[in-house]
Amino acid sequence: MTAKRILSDMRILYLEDEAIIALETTEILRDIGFEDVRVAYSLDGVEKALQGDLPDVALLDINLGHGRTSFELGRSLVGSGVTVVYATGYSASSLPGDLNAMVIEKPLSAAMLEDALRTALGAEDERRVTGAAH
Amino acid sequence: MSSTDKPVPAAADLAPPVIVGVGASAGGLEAFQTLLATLRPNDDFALILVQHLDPEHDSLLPELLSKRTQLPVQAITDGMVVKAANIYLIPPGVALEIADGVLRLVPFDAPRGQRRPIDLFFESLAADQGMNAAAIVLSGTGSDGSQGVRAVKEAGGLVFAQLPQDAKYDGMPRAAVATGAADMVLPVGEMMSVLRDFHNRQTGLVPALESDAEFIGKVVRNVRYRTGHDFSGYKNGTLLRRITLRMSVLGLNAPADYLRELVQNRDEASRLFRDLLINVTSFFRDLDSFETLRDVAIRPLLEGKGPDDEIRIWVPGCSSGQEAYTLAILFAEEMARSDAKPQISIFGTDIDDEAIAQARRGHFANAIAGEVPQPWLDRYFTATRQGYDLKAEIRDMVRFSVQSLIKDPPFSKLDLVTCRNLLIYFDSDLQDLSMRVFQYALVPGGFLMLGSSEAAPIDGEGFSPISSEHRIYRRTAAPARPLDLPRSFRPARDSRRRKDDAETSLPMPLPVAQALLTRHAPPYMVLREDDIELVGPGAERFMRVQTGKPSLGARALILPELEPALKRLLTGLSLSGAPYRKIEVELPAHGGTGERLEIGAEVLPTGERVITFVTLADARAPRPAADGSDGEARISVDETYVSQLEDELENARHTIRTTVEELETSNEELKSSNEEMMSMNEELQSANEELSTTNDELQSKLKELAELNADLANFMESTQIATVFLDRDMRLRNFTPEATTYFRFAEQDRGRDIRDIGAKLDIGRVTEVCQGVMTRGTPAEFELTSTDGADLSVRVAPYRSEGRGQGGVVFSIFDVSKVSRYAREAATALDEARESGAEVEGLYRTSPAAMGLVDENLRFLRANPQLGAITGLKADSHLGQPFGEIAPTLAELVPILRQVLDRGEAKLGTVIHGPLAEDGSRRSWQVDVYPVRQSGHEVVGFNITDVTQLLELEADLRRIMRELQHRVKNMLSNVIALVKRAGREKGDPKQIFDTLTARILALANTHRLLTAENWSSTALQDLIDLELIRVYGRDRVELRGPAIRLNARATLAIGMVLHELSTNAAKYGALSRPEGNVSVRWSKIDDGDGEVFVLRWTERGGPEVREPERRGFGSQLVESMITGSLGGNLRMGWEPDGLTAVIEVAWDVATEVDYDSEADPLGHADPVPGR
Repeated sequence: MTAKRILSDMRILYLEDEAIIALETTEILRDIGFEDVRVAYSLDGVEKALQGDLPDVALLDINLGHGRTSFELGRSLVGSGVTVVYATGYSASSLPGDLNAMVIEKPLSAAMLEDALRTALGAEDERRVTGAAH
Repeated sequence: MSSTDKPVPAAADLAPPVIVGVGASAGGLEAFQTLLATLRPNDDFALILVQHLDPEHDSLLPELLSKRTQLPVQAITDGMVVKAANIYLIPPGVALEIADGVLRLVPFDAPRGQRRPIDLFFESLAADQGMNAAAIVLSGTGSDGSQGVRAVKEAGGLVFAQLPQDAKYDGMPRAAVATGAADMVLPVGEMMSVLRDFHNRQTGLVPALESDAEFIGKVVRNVRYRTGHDFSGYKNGTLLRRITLRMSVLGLNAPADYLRELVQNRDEASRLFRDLLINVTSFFRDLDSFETLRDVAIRPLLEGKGPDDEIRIWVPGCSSGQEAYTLAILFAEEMARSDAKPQISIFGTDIDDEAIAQARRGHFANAIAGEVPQPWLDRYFTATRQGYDLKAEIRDMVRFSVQSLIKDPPFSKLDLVTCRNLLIYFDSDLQDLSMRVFQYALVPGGFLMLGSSEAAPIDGEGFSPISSEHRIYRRTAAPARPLDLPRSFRPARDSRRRKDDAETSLPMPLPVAQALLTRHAPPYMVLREDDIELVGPGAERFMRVQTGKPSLGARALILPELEPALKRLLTGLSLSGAPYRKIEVELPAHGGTGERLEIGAEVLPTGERVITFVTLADARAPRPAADGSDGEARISVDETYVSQLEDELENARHTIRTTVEELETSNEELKSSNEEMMSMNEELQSANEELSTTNDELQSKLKELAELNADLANFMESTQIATVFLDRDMRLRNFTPEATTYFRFAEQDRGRDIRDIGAKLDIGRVTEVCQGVMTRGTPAEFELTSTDGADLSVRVAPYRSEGRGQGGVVFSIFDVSKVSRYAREAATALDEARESGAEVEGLYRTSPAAMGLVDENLRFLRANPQLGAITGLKADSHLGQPFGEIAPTLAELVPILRQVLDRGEAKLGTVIHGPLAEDGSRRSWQVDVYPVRQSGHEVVGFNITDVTQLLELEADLRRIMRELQHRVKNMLSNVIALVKRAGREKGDPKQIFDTLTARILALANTHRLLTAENWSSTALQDLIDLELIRVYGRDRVELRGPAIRLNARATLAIGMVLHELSTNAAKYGALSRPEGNVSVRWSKIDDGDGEVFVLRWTERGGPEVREPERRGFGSQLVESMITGSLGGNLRMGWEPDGLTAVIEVAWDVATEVDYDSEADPLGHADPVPGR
């Protein structure tokens, strides 16, 4: 399988509690090429957004208000083989080291987001290729 | 015993140790010390010291003596085994004996003052050790030890006595010397070397000498020459041992040296003679034998004897008489049981005149109590202080004389001879001679008893055995064999000397005189006094040895027939005073005709008397008595002469009787006073012993006093204190040199009134105080200033003295100028120290920090109350407690404290965490530890500051910074999202830009509201006021609802929704016309599923409304805000009257404060560890 996958074939989970940002970023994700974008504004909303589907990739905002973070969800997704990219207003260096995911800092630009997602997916594919070769 | 392959030292080692008994009394300590000091570490003697000790006191002797020797010194306990190279000490209050080499402590049976522990021990030592024993008598009063040394000597041991001049008290040494038993009399310091020498000689030299029979022969000849006693028939072994002893006593090695000593020293022969006499005897030795003797000999002898009969008994070699007395007792017993009362004559003889003298005294030591059966002891002895005296009835039965069995003529007509353990010392020739003597002396049928170990040959001719077992024999009727006694030998030195004198004055040539004397002179003899000095040729014819005690007396030796004549001749010669008398005598010849003799006697100028015997020609015709001459038997009787003699005799008898009676009386008196003297002597001795002890004590006290005095004198000379001694009258008695600083004292001022002597101080005041002190008897102290300005302190004390009326005062002067200055300085320094101490104390008490001080063992020296807040103890309870155990929180500081203690460098800024003991809350502290030097010790101080708040503040600050960063970024993200969104809009750019600006502004307003409320919540009223009333006026907006506070999220969402709705109303709805208005109502309702916040937006009075065909960004924003961000519902009603919007959000989502300043989503970044 080639490293290039068609983003439109992919399902992306986007978790963001800020409605304005969520609206704009959803547009950007569509601009990048994602057709199936599942937006959730809170952890409670993730299940509803996914409707039982497992995403191929997830873009998760870390701080979800009320002291809640998306680390648990992210680890669970990584465990299920989902490529996870975190977005945060904190500096990336102050985050836990066991996330097994790419972290990008807010504010997000379209180019930055695309680059990050593609890189994450590419790395994920490579890992899968080498894993299959064994 | 010694084989050639055996090394000599081994043989020496095998020899048993010499056991040396040492006796001493007063002055003994010194003598013991001197004696022990001469011991060498390798000496293998066992020394047993016997001292008269006070039974009431513990003896210090072991302690005092052990300092003088390296050999072990031990106090004797009962049953102790004597070992070589050890020193043993008798304990107080008991007597000491030795048996089989084991020491026994036994109680005294004599009362105090009559005890003779030294004699007791020496006697048992002699019995137990024999030749292996040695006895030493040292300083002491009295005579204890003198009997004991005799026993030791008799047993073959060695006896030393301290030289009386060397002894502190010479009583005991002198008594020991007087017994004649002392082998050597010498200073204490030389005894050990002599003893050592003898010991070595015994183990080394004896075999070499043993073969030298020639040497022994020479010695014996010398002894015979000097003493007249011939030991040539004695066994060589016995002789050699005794000679060796003398040689070692004299320190001589070569036999030749000893022979020279014998020749040169006249006394040595008699010393050796004494040593050769072996005086071992006892009462009833071998009782069985004596019982047998009684049955087989004594009873038959007594049978049928009347008072006129005489039984004659001879005990040759009787020594000190025990055996002779034993026989006397046996005879007395038997005679008491029968009617026979014959005369009993027992003759005890010995060549040792000292032993004979002792035998005659009839006094015996206590030891005989074990030998004589008790009934006889009671019956025949009288107990005295020193032992037992024989009663006169036994004593009178025995006669003692000095006589030699082998040299002197024997007794005759004897019924019994006992001779026990004498012949064993003789060789066979002498033994044979002895047997002939006994045969000669005994009547036929007489009895002979020999010793049980005697192997005297009984050849069957002279004796027949009665009891072989007990060596009792009976003389047969066979005629006695001829006696061939050795020639009497007398020292001839006197006669030789006289002969030399005669030679020089002889008026004729010597050969002529010799011829005349041998051929022409009548038989003659020369008398000195009554003893025969010289017997001329042929004179022996007129002489015969008599039975009984032999003597050189002329009357004893002359023929008995001639004896009366000689007696009259000599008596007449001495009575008349004439130089010459003669007498005619008819001598009846043996078995034939007699002969007439003329016996002449002449007194020579030198005092000797010459007796001549001239045979007269006609023996048969008796001639009338010549003038001045008489004859025996047929002597004409001179009546006057006879009556004169009888008168004289009567007178003499009378005188003798009177004298005897007087003597007896005075003897009794003497006896009783002697007894008194004896008892006084004992008391005096006791007192003397005690006095000598006291004297010793006083001497040591005196020595101490002298030392003290010297100390005091030195102290006086060297002391830097001015001290003055005054008597009661204020006269100067003594002063220290330093006192001349204040007084112009001179040596001659002693005795002067001190007020008359110049002084640098107010002497009037001093004496005043002194007198006060004397009166009160208590010390006083005062201060004054000397004339040269020094501050002086004077201390006056009463002078205490034992003597009454002495006393006075002693005062000392101290210059306290310097002291006062120092005292002032010290007071200042003390004040300063006290202040700084108080400051430190205050600091400790008030400092917010916990403070403390620990010593080098990390135990608390100090702690302030604040420390108690951490440890939970009171400040004082810390003191002395170990730092590490007082609170777990502090335990981790222990290594740091140690480090500071070791390196001496402060360690600051350590942070620790733990619970506060006061309330259990977790706290953090900063600890500073620093070294402190306190009175020479390194200790450690520490401060503990509570930094909990500081650290929390720091953590808060960090979190806030992070939050700020998050919000700013979020806000920028929002703005960027709006801007980007606007970039996608199509239409008039100016309108798009205005809309964007209005949105960003609305966002900013909402933020301002939230920030003003600390980002927690805002009043819904304020939000509406901001978005609607300020923009469109109060009259166009109708508000209705309760006061509600929205949380931050709801504020942002509702604020944005109100902005979009009002913007839309102003553009297309009710607010686009002047008459239009908006109603906003809100409430909290409970729809059954939970409380819900409901807000209703209603527009009225605007243009007709239609649902737009395309939803703009504003609509999307509103919807995503409500449904997305808040999870609520939004219903839009496009009614012709105007737009209606209903917003429903769960109550708690809208109102619950969602921003918790304590909650930090990134908890791992907390800067405070351990929390």
